[in-house]
Amino acid sequence: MNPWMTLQLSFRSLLRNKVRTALTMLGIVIGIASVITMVAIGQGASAQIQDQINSMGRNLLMVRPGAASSSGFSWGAGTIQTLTREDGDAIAKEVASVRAVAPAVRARAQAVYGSLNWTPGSIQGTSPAFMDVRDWEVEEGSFFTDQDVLSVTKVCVLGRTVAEKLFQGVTPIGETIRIKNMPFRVVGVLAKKGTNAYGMDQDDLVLLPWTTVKRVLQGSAFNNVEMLYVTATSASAMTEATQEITALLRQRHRTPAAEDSDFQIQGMTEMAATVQQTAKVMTLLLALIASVSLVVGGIGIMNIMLVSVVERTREIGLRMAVGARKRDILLQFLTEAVVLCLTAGVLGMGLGVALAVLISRTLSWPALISPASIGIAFGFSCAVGVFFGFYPAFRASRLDPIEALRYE
Amino acid sequence: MSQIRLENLAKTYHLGEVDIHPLRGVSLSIEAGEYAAIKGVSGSGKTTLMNVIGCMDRPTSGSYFLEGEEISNIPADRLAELRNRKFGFVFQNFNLLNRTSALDNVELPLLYWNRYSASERHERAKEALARVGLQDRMRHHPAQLSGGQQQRVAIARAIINSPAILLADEPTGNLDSRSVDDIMRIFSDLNRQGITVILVTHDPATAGHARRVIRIHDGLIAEDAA
Repeated sequence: MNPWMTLQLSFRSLLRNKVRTALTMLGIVIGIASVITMVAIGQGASAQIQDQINSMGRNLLMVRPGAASSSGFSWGAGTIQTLTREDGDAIAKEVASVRAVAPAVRARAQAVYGSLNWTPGSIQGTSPAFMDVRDWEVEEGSFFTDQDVLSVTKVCVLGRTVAEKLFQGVTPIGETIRIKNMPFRVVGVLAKKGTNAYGMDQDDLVLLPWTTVKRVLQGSAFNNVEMLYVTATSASAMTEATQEITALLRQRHRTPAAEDSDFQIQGMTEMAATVQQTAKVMTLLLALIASVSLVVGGIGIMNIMLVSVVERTREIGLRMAVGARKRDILLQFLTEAVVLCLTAGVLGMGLGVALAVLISRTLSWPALISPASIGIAFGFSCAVGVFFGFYPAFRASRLDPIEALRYE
Repeated sequence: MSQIRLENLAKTYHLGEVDIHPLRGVSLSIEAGEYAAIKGVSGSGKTTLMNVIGCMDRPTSGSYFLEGEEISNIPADRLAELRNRKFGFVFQNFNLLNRTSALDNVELPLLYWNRYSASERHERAKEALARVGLQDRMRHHPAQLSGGQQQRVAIARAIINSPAILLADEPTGNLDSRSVDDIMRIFSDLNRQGITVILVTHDPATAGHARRVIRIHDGLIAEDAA
């Protein structure tokens, strides 16, 4: 018997017992649906966490000056001022695995506009490369230019939160705010970014040319910076970039081989990896729990197939008498089980996707339906069919035609 | 060369500690085109003999030559193929598939013979049903047919593969006398067309239709009369 006929035959015998077929499939439908839903929720959560981490900037490395210590007492990170803007320029120019570098210097002060005042979470001095490095965009107006940095212009770009607090709906572009009693013209407002992975509002921010912060707000003539934001060319280049930057800065700072570096490089990768690992374990756990129902469904299929073999003993005997080989009978019943499981699998996929969408809509939980999870579910239902269908089919194929024909 | 030649054929079943010997040494030749009845009381071994002849069962000892080929020890798949190509079976209780049309029932043996396309199977099944006079009952299910009609569907199924040998085990056991006449006439017609017909029966009237009667008693041939 050729495969196409076997397939037709199994469809026909499954349709002969519609209610039984439907009830048997239900177990697999529920199993597949719950696997898909659970994996979708797990992956959705993991993607959301990844997004939050990425909102700090993709492939971001942060280079900070090292800790100063005197007679064994450490003053903590950033207490020595060895990291300069020139270091940043050198990194941008000489390290191939680096895409962009932006310096950062900070100030803390009150911003005033008219009768309103607000103390931003952070006032940062930086360069236009900041937008690239932090993966951020200007929504209104424009960012300040490299020329502004060179000429120490008193301009600023506001984060969304600051713009709302100070201007309350009025467009801030072209207006002047006062920081430390000095006027700064607002040239742009950043797009909203939301909270970062630590839960801090990233939009509570005022950006100025770094030279302006240094010369005007801090009154300093030096070029040292508090931090360099560095973007690697890709996620896989981050380790390489870290090594190259370390080598370059040690050379520039003339650090003897035996001594520790006077700076430190922190990446988002370690944190991202930990969080991803946790999310992966959670997804796996959910999928495992869901697959228990798949196994239960599979046992249901085996049970019904065994009943079906007993019921159809005479049919099997007859088929053997008119020329069916053991193999033909085995394939017929195995195909029935697989067709049953695959049909159930397809229905389960539909139900699972619908459930995932429903959950993400009503509970505003993120759900991510990946093609992989659908492929795996499909393969799984096939495997369940073969695994749980084999034993009944094997029993059917081992029947003796004479005995089977005599069965009442 | 005889179509069927059995030499000292014996069959033993082990049922727990007891051995049963339904066949104790049967030697028999049947020529192509014969119409033979195997007669005997129940338990005489006639059904076992028919099962061995029909390649449903293997003998414990002795030889079975089918068209000159010794087949008492060939693999199960080869036996299935012989059943499919050389034999047609008719059973006492018809053994039709329920909820399946007469046409589909008749097609069944050809499903296991990859030579035929779906349309050829259909054509042959229609022809076979016409040969037993059921051309207007093709779409009926067994439950919608009388006993005699059901047995005619079963005969159509047995001849769809153009078998050399038709085996019938108590084919009239479940039928009323009018249907019996119909069925026996079909067997005679088929035999006239060249098919070897072997009936197994305990009923002398049915056996009377055959041109040769072989009586089995206690696993041995007791009488063989033309």
